[in-house]
Amino acid sequence: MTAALPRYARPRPDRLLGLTPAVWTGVLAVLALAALEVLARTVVDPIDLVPPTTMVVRTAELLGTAGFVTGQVLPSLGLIAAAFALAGVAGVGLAYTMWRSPWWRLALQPYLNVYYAIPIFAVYPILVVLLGTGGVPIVLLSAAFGAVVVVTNSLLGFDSVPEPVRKLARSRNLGTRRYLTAILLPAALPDIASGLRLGLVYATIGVLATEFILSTRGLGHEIADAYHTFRTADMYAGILLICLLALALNIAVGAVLDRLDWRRR
Amino acid sequence: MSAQPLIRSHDVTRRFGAVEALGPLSLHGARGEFVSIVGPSGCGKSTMLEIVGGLQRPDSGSVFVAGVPLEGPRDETAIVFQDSATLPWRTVLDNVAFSLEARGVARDERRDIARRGLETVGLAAFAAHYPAQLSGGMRQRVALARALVTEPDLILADEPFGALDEQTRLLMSDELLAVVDRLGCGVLFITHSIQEAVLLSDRILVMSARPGRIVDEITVPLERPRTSEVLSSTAAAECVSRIWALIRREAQVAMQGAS
Amino acid sequence: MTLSDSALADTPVAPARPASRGVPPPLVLGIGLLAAWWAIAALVDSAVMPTPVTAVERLLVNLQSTRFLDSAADTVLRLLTAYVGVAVVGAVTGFLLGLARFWAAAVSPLLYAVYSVPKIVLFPLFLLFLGLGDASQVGFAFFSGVLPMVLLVSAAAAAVPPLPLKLAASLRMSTPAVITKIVLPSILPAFAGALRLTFGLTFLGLLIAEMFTGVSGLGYELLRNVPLVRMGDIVGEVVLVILIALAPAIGLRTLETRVRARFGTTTEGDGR
Repeated sequence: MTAALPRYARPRPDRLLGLTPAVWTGVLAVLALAALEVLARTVVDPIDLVPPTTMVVRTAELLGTAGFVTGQVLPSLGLIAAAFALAGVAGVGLAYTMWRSPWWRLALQPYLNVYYAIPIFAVYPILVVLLGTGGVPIVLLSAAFGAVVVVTNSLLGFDSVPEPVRKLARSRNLGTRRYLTAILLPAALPDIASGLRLGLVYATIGVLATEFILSTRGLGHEIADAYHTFRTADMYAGILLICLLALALNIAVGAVLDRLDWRRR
Repeated sequence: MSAQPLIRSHDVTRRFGAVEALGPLSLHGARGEFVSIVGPSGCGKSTMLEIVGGLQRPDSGSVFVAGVPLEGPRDETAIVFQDSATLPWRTVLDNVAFSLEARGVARDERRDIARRGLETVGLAAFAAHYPAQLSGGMRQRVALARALVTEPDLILADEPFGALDEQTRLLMSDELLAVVDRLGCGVLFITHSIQEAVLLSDRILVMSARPGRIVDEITVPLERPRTSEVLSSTAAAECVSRIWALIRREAQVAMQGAS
Repeated sequence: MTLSDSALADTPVAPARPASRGVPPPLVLGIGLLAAWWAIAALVDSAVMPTPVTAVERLLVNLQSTRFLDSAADTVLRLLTAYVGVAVVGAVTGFLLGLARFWAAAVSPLLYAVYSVPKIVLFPLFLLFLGLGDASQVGFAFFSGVLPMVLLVSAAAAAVPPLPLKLAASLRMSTPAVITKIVLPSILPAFAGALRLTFGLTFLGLLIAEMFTGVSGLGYELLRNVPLVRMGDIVGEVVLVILIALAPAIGLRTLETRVRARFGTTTEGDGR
């Protein structure tokens, strides 16, 4: 008699114990938080870990403090916005020049290929010595960190114009400018959008990391400072706030960028 | 027809969630008989084939192969899939030997058998190539050779020539006919090409749009052995137009369902 | 958004281009940039703007000092430890998770959420629980690289194309045979890509960790020179960091290209 079908060839089960994977995701998240809460309240030293509920309370308190919002949160958000804008403009612009000039593209491509293998934050001390500990070196470094992912995605987009469309454009004698606005940018927009999305993630990491390493204010600095001065609750509150901010920023900007993406309509 | 058919299915049904995909569907096929199933896209042809191959279980109904109720894949059945399902990291020879490897045949022996299998499909010179270096038609011949080396009594083929161009399809059909005639095995063949079905089959089952049922059965009035030249005969042309008349309405239903 | 969209797409393996005649453009660009740096430094003629020669001289001088050499060796050793951990632990975990496709679907969103948090702000936790020494630095570097490894490998293991699996089932292959003969070869390209990607992330995590609390290591050396405004030393160290990153980066890229050529799918598109 022949055997039943092995498990590897069966389709993935839709449910386990009546629950879908998405529900299980929620269950696991809640379980993890509950375990953290119990650990923090029993075994672990309160100087090392505060319970998640305390984190939430402390975050709310901090957000109610005007000095914290204007002194730490808003400056960080401003730097992120500036770095993101710079990364976006420079990234798309550089990609366009690479798309226009094959020589330039050949020259740059190998450098872009290894760019993210090199820890770019090594350059931060140079910028600090040249420009001081203000916002400028932070924005420059974070923009540089985010720009290359925008470049590579934009290039993908510029390359994605299908051959028949290119032929059609040539048969209609579109000029360079008309080609750019009528064909190239719309065709590349979904890829540029996903590049910008990643650019935002990178810019956020860049700002928080540089603030964390060496700066005088901002959320990253606040967490480093809370750590150094043993303000554990504040430290966790700051971490929680950053997680929430990063999530909110991703969702908000993602929603805007999704509207640019005609492939998702 | 022999007393005990090779395949016999009775009132097979299959649903995916809320969608009734198939049946109830009953069919049979004899040893040495070439049976084709034609039908519009999405009618459940491939599902039926996988059920007969033991890769899916029907929700109701029964399937017997060689007189035994089917519980899963069986050794004497070989399946040729829609895309060639060649493994890109193996040479052509080791792709063909793969089905023997799964049976635990020793390396030298299975390579010898695979080499002979490649000769049958005219690919002996490409034994050391990788699938990526071959054309689509050649890759499908590799898949065919892989099915043949296990000496099956039943071949299940799911639109094996679907991705090939017209000329290659005809040539591949000739090769398949020659091989099947030599082995004397039964074949259940899925296709959406009426011409291909007429060229290859002894009997053609026409399926309806989803949920797929057999709406008609046509015995092809052409002698075997045959080659693609029979397609120019009046008998073949009549057969093709008769099936098209049957299937046209079903295809329209499927097209509207899809849009 | 899937990780393969976001993470692997950031540096796609470039298609081979026909070599142009004369000097390769990247070399021209590199020499041009170096010349520009030199010219500007010569014109400014200031201690905060060293010439390439000064930077390399300072690096060579530093490399004579045992303390600096120890620091560099510390960094390399920590990087190796963390990276081997990422490759082994990440790949095995990702593989097992991917085989359990239901759990891969349930757990991946959680891992992805943690992955998208700017990880650097979690570094103090490593200091609190692992202490100020090597453990927290290696731990953080490991943490920086391991999640993408798990996510990429599990996604690849969960997405092995169905046809070869059906073929295996029709041949009644055993599960271990399917794993060694079909699943493992199928995920090798994704694994090679993840090896390349996670190397950069691991090094980045380590360097930031060393900058924040190091008592040794290249990150610590970099930051130590900031208050002293020793630009020649800083730039020389940056050059060293780049050199340390570059060799493995190029090697891993070559490896990935080879693996993709040998094990990449040809019978099916990648579905993007």
